[in-house]
Amino acid sequence: MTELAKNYDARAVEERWYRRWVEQGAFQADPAAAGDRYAVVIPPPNVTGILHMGHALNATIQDILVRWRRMQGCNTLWVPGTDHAGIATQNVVERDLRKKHLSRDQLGREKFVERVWQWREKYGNTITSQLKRLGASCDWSRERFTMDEGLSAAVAEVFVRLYEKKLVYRGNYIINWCPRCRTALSDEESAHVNTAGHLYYLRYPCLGGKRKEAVVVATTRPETMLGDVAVAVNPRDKRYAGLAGRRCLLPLLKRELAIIQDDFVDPEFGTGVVKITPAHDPNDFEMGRRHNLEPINVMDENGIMNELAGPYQGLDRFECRKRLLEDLTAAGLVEKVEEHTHAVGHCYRCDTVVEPRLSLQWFVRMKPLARPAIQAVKDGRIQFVPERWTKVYLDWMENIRDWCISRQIWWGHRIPVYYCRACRHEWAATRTPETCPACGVAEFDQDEDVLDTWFSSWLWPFSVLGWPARTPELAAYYPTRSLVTGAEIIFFWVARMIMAGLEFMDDIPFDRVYIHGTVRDDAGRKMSKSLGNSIDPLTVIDEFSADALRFSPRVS
Amino acid sequence: MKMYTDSTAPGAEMQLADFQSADLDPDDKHILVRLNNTIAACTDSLERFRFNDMTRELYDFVWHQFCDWYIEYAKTSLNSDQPERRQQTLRVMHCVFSHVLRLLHPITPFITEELWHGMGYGSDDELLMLARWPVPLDPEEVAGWGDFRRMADYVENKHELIRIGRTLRTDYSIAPSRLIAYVLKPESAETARLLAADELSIASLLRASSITVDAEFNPPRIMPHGITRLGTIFMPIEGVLDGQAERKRLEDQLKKLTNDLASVNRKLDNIDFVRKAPARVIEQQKTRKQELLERCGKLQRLIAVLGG
Ligand SMILES: [Zn+2]
Ligand SMILES: [Zn+2]
Repeated sequence: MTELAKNYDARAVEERWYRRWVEQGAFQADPAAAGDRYAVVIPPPNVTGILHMGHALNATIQDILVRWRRMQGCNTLWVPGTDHAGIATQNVVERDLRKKHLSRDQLGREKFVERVWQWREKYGNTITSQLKRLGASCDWSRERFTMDEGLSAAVAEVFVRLYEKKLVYRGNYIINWCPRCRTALSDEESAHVNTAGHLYYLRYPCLGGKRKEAVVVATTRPETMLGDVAVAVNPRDKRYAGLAGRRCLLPLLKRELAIIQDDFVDPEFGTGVVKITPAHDPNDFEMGRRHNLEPINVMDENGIMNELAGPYQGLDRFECRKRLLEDLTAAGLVEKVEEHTHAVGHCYRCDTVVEPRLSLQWFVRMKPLARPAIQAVKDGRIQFVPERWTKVYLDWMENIRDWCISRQIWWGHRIPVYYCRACRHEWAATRTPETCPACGVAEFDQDEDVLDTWFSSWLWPFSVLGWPARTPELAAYYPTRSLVTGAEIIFFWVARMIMAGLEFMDDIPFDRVYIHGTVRDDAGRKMSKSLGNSIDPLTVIDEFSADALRFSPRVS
Repeated sequence: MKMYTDSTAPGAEMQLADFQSADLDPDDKHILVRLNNTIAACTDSLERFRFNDMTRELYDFVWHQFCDWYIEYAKTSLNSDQPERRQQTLRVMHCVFSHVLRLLHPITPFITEELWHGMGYGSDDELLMLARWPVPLDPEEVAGWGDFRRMADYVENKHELIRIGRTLRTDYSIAPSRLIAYVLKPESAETARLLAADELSIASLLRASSITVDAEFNPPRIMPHGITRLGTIFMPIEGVLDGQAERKRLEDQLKKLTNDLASVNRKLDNIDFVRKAPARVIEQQKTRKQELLERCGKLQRLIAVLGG
């Protein structure tokens, strides 16, 4: 029996016990041991992450569950790990390079990726050592990283299986594009923010018929008019019955446009006449397809107007908007300008205004994957706690859209698709091939894009246990039990894990999803950097103790 | 930090079901019943991811049951000269404390592990983090406890009686050092028996010179008293309190509060004030008015009891 110290030195005590627990292997799981299995996988924090109150709360809840089950005699495993966080990490390393007056283009792909690995070597353990200070009883001998060898193999395996089942496909599609990050974003990565802007009413002169006749179209992004291929009216709109089949002139570029009819046109919006710009608007893209109109893409990947923008080539999109409006005003073609508040997509990583853009991307067909995942929640095999999140999940799943999984960055899992230079054969393979399987030549190129970060984390509950190999861990601990996470990643992550588990393991990945709230300050406000009310959990640990931090998270 | 550890923490290894009715006082039974309830509640909260509920349960048990009441009770018993009684109290204390450490461990793993070893509840390599999670008694074991639950209810009521007795004392500003000869008028013969058997513990918690349990008690004139679930508690004040001086003190207080009340009323009756002041300020004044009304009412009752 040890004498208790009069003054409790939390730091010394906490370090001593953490070391003892690890040394005695008390966190370590044994798949062969007896007892009900209770496994939890940590939501892998970004490798760029620094422990904030949200992580502290999330990890404390998991640790409470895991320690409790372990004491109940369960065969318990808590798998830790980190996420390579594609865009986020690439941005951090790029910022670092800029300080040294270097850019990723100067370095080239290989050198740049090397730099990211070096960065990860140096700073990537910050968050895991912080979790240790919090007391997290993770099995550190089983720590994973979404880019480690095993997980990369799982990613390639999954891609190839989906490719062969025709559940991934490549297509020209209108996607959310961040001109700053120069990559496609999934719908979920484009955050809609209500923004005060303008609705511009522009006159397009009609051809044939009376002189000076014009149609007036309304748009919030006039610079995209340079890519117009038609204007459209609703066939039931009596006001414009006489316009059908006629043509008008695109101002400034003096290109002729057909006036078409489409049920999708909302007679209530603007004047009821809309411009059709398939390369820069998702609805126009669909309409363009219906009417066989060739899209005209007038911007490059940086949001700079290209050669198809005529005299505006080389201008940034917002500069172009300004100049174009000046020119239209001078020509007397601006009918009026209204104040207009609308939802504008912003890049969730860098807050740049997202540009809908037509480009060649890879997609996962989601509907077939969603069906069993909806069923698993409806029949109660998977339960959300609190229950109200069930509806949020189901609503999204029932309206699910295809998932854009290609990203035009360098840090991530490169898409395992190869193109033969000789015979143009395209194929997917889990390992870098030697020769083209169709014609046998050794000259081929790998796809340049990498996969969305979530394409590795959606496999997390089984990839961390060794899948696709049939490991004892996988047999013992899959399905895992409780998933503990915040509401903001139900679509990004939770839903996709359920789909992946059912598709590749033929079983649910976990049976309870506990969605916890956000940490708030005394006044009940969300903690945020901009409000200046965030508490650094490490300061609390230093000043008081990890126990104190764990005992008192204020949660809503 | 050192608890009474005569031998090697007797009771730490004891299970709830090991305790026998005949060996224990009502207070022992009460704390064990409450512990059993707490174990069930904590486990249930965890099953349902109700972490805040679990924390509240534990906090309430440790502070408001174990520290506020059981440790107070235990002091008398630990100071007694009967070794058997001391030993029995120690067993209960260690059993409760070792269970509490286990229940708290998932939330505060470090300090509980430190205390676990500090108390000698586990040898060096017997970690608390690998100790067994407490399990509440099954119905058969509860039946084996016999009168535990009835005694626990009685002790709950006794705590109420003591709180009310203490309030009587503070109402009349009687110093804690003054011993009072309380009289209890029990609500039933059964209660009378329990109270009489428990006199020592009640007297010590109330700082009483004596406790008289008298079913026929009829105070000669109005006397400070309170109604409890176990019966009525009377506080005789002759010799303890200068009735005249106390009456004057209370009347002075009442006068001051009545003035305060008048001033709040003036504000609230002022249409200008009500119209212009922010809602928050008006709410404050209304709350204050309510408080003052209640305090005045109470003072009037206290004065009435002191008589003319
Ligand atoms: Zn961006
Ligand atoms: Zn070929």
